[in-house]
Amino acid sequence: MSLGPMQSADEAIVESSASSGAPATGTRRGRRGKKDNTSGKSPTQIAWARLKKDRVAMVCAVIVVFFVLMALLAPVLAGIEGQDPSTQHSNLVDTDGFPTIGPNSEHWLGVTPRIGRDVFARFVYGARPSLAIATLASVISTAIGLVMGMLAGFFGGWVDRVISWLIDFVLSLPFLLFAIAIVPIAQSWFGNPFTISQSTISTVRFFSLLFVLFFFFWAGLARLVRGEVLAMREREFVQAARALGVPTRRVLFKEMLPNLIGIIMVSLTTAIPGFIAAEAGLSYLGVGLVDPTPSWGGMVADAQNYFQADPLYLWVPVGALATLVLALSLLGDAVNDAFNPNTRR
Amino acid sequence: MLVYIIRRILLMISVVFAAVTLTFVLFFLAPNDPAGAICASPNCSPARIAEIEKSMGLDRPKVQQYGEYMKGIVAGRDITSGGFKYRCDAPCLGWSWIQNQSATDMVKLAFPVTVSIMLGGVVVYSILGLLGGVIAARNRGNWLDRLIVAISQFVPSIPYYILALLFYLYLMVLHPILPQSDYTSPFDNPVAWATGLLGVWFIYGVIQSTAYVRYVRALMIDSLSGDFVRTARSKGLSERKVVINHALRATMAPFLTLVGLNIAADLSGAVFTESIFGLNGMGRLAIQSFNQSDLQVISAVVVVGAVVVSLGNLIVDLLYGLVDPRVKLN
Repeated sequence: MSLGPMQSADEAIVESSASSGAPATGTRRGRRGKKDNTSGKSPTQIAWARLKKDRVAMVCAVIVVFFVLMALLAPVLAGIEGQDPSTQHSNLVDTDGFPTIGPNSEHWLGVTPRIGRDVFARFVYGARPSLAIATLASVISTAIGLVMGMLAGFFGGWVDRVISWLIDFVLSLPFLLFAIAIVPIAQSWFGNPFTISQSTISTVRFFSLLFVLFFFFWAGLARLVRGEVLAMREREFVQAARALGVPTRRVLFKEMLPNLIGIIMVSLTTAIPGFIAAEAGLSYLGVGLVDPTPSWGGMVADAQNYFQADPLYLWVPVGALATLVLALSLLGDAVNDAFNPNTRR
Repeated sequence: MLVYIIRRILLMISVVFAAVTLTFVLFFLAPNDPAGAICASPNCSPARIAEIEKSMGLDRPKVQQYGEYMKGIVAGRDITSGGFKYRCDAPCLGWSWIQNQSATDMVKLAFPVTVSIMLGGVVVYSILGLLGGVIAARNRGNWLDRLIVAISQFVPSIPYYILALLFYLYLMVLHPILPQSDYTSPFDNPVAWATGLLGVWFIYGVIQSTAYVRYVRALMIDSLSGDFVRTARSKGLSERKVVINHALRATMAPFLTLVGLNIAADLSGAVFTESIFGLNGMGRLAIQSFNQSDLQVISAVVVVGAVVVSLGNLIVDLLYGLVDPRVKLN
């Protein structure tokens, strides 16, 4: 990615924090000549302006915000309904395990088969672990990938060789199989499998999922960043900084890092939908989150056995997962396009 | 070229060796070992566990156990458990204390299932991916192109297992349009093998193909505007010949690379496909072993998966130089 002339680090960082919150001022200038539009702006400002004009991206952003709000306000929403995700209404389930009621004013989306928990409450609470794991994992893996890639690219030599080998190693491990393998091992570190409490398992599962996700995804970004830094090391502004005797740390973080903002943003926004899908998938397989933690993947696994009698129970988590992941990945594509000077929409 | 191949093979060997070692460290140094799985009750006394561990040789130094593990992979080894002695032939990837069986044998049973799913799936998604990509590229800009591009952007963005599950539930269970999934060995009964997997191939192939369409389209647009295509056209070749013999052929190398990498990744365990359709391949073996806390079998599956992925990457890298004469390996 060619990001034009060197940026002042402070400006780019301030801008990137602005882009996640309030819209930056002075970027909306309508349709003018291309040169007018981009002169004197940082790549982040240009990307932000392009993103705002992208209608698909804005619709997707609204959907994402909706789900984030739902996760944050889960207790409030469940409170308005008057239910909670763990109470079992065994009186609403017949002897074969089928719920006897459909959606009504008391249980907005009905109750789950077999143990009769409120579907709506579990649904809104289920958004929380997905989003929490995905956000944490993508921040951690981006940070690790960035540091590793910068170290490898900047220092070269044996540092580069060791890190590059590590990248190759991680990328040749089968992700899903390893994810399945890590969970029982992590669990056995925290206690005997026969006496371990359900809530401990739940916590252990949360952190092992987090670990598995960032362990596997830092490598791809590290490889990208390494290549970028290798190329940038020879650029004039870095050479100038080094000739002036700027300390290495400053060269890395003040001179190079601002030019990697594009890669970082793209990595963050494309990793999150992948992580949400992976978390729900592993929970669906029974390897991820378990009861009592509500999770969409777990709901799908539970609902598939009752889908003929109770299709709504299946379609609620399935629809939400598909919509959220779709919106996030389309948003990721749009961010990618916005930061890529080669695409013009 | 030769130096590159040797370096590449050495890299692969080091990666596989590290994967095996990491697996050993993770699985065999974990505080909870197979004794707990055999003595499966909450009130199993520590003395009994120690006794079982001693009988299996798990009380010996870890380094010695590691040596035995590596030796087992190369030459096979003897497993003792509860006074019985079992022969675990090379490559011995571990011993399932729960099934009382060599983990290698269990992997050997599961691997053909995964390979069968892949083979048919690859055929379906290669054909559909190429077809969709070529049609879109030839109709660039009109409604058909936009429709194909829209589908190929939406479908891969939805998690695969959701679509596969919905297809399975609605096309196989509720309305049995597709034949029920079932695995028969192709050597016993090839017809039953094909009919049992037909639905799986179809669903897996259709969903996966959408991920390739966009890629093939981009490659085709690129090659259709190439000089060699203009030459072929000005030479007076029929449009069909230009598209198939010239433009499409130029897209095959990168396409096959992508497919090759995905085959390697999927062979290491099409976990979701196998779980949803109830086929006992590598991924399902891992899940079942997980549910039984059969760590040795999971470790065997992970090792085999790592070998398959590294081997696949190596083959694709080497073949790339052969398929595309512009690539120089060094």
